[in-house]
Amino acid sequence: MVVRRAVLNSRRGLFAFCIGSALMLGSCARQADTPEAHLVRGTEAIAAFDWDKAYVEFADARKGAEPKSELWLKATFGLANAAQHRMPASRATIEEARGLYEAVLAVEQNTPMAARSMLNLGRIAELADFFGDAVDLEAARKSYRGVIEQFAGTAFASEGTMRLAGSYISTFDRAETLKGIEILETWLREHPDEPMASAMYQYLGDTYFYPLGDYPKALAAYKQCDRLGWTQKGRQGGTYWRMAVMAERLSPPDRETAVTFYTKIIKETPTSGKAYESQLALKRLGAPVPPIELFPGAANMTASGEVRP
Amino acid sequence: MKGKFARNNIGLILLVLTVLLCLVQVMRTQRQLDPPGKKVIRIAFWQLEAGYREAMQAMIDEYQKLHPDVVIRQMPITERLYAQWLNVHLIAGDAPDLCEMGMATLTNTDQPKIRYFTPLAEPLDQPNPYNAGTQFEKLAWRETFIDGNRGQFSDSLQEYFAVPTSFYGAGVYYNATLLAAAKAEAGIDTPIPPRTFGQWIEISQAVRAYGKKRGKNIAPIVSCYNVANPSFLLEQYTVAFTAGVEPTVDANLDGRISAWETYAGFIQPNSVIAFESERMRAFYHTYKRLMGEFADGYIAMTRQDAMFRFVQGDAAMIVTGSWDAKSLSQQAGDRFKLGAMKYPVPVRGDMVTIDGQQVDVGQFVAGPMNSAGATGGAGYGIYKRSKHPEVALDFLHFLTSVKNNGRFNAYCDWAPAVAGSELSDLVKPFMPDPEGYTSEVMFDLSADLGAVYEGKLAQFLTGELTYPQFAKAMTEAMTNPTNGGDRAAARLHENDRTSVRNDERTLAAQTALAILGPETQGAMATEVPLPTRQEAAARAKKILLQQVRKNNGNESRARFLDVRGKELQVR
Repeated sequence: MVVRRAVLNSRRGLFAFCIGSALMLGSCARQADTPEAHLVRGTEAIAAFDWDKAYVEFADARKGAEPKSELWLKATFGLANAAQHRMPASRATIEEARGLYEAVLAVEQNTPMAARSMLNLGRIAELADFFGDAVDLEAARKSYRGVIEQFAGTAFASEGTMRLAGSYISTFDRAETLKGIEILETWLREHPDEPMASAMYQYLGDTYFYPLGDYPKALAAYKQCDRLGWTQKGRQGGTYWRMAVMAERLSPPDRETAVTFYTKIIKETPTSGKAYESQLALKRLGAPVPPIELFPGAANMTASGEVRP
Repeated sequence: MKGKFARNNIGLILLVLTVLLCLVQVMRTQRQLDPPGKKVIRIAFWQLEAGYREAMQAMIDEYQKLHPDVVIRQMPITERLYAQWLNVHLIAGDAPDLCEMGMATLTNTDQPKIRYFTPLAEPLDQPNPYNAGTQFEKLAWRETFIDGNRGQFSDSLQEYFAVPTSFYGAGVYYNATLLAAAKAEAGIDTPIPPRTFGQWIEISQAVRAYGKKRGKNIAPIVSCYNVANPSFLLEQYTVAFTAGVEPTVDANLDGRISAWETYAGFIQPNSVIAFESERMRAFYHTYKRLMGEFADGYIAMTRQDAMFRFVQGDAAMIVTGSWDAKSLSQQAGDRFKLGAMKYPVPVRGDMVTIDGQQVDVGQFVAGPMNSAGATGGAGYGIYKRSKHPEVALDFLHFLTSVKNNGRFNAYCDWAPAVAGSELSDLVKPFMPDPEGYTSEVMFDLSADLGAVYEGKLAQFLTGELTYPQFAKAMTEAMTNPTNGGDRAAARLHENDRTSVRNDERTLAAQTALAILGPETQGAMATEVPLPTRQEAAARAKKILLQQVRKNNGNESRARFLDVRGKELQVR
């Protein structure tokens, strides 16, 4: 009897404990299930490149949010990004992303989210996202032009300009390439020192180099980059080498430019692998040869392990 | 009744006892692994070379003395299992706090890397606290590494996910005692170690003669790795012989000869890199001449075989890397003096017989390959789900301070990753030398062509193919309409396009975070800290330029049309 009562009591206790736990867990789960919490988790998933998880979280955030509210807009924008980049991409996922960006644009017109949505619509049109996806350059350009006009004077307009120029240059058709150059040069005339100017000059220099093969203009553009500071600092060694070699190949050769950039390779980008050859080039050009100050503690050793004086 | 109860329940009692015993055992083990009141950090790596674990334990012991509340456990895993083991634990969510990066796919590729590992750009910008009182006291942690931590930087993510702890270099270890004896007996004045290709051959011949006189088959040279592999010993000679064609072949003037440029240069009439050209004939015959000094059966020799022959005194020189310094010096012991050298390349006056003619092969050599682009290795990343990421970071600071990194590496005779650290004599020749060249032609344009190249080259080196047969086979493979250079070019173009699409994904993450992310650090309650909007926008700008310059991957198509006069056939 005693045992039976104890068992019954313990069963009741267990039952109460289970109910209590379920209630507690339920309340925790409810808290974690708020649209705000889903939005944060979706953002975290984007940072971790987990587009599938981001898709689920943003979809849940959007479901629970007041339509057209700020939360809903953020969730829609996040969901659009996730749909655009989930793997494998298909016509359905890309169309869904397009629809979601358009839904953002139906509510927002002048915010960063709207600008980014327009740019992303351009990217969807310009890139082949899945097998058989047709590239629609005109649609892409329309989006980029929209950003340039609607967000004039902002970083989004600068990016739109670069994208618009790129849509012409990347065809590698001479006439189209010249249109791209014109877009870049017009923008650079109006914004010579803006944050995106260095990147634009670098792209301009690349385009003059190839496919146009115009060394003087390529050099001029790259020199502007050097003046403004390189966007990918420390990675300009290859371009310095290109500049120095182009300068030497001009007719007549531009010795001064060649010396300047061979010297910069040694001093600024010795890890480019071209510092030693730059020293040889400077010797050939009769210019002062700076030492290679790379790998402190190791550079003073020769190939055979001897310590250099 | 009582007895019956006891009999009926004896099994149950035993079961309960067993469960209790197991529980106690599990709790005791758990207590040992995770002592209460202590912060436990696990560090996993695949470096099982002699001395590494001892060196790591010495560092751990010192760190624990400084921080009695911390317990660090090392987890050495054989390299055969490391990749699978770590991938599984990363996915399962219980990976070690510090993981050696590389080998495992999830530590190599961008997206998993950002998912599983802590970005380190911010701490790398700050000084290493363990460098206080040294010349690096105020220097950013990143700048204290010999390579500025370039090797651990992800271009596409614009982030660091690891810090290096050692530096690697490839080269040759030699039995100095044996070389000196062979030299004395041969009566030659070749320096030890040899500096040029000619001297290398000379001392090798002396070794062979020395062994023969004693009825022993002493191999002058053995190699731990495949000598026909284009990225090992062969690369040193490919650079030496083909860097000189860069001004002719490097079409985009970036100072490198890409796979496409190799092909574009190769199909030109009277190409300077045709297999029939004087330069290429000299290159392959020189390499074959060198192989003539390797042990019999060197093509199939395993790393273990090579090491065994060398430490037994049956080989005078061994081609390997700085990572074997400790193992070799321990095994050499007092029996012979160990030395180390870099690969000697031909200089003017070094003669090789080609088709019965003595040819001065030095005329085709620009110089040795440089190591300006060398980067640190044995990099460790911090697992994002680590319970004590601050301790993991602190231990990395400790391990890579100028004082400790030198001691750590000296313990295992490895090269330090931190500038100014002490160097052991055996690794000095393996430290990077920026003097020399980097450009080289690459005939492994695609997996198909790479397999043909490696196979045919091995056949030529072992004498199964004559040079004309090797040259003919390679030329046919390169110009094969189905699987040759045109097909490889199409694949390179596909890779370019894929790379643009991958950049788009990386860029999208940053541009989305620039809108949805926290305005300031920590403003969003997330499990792991997210970059601020400003940081994400700055990264996006760099990725944008990187992607735009790729012109949607169409440059490869345009260059193909320029060179081949026809459209690229993409399947």
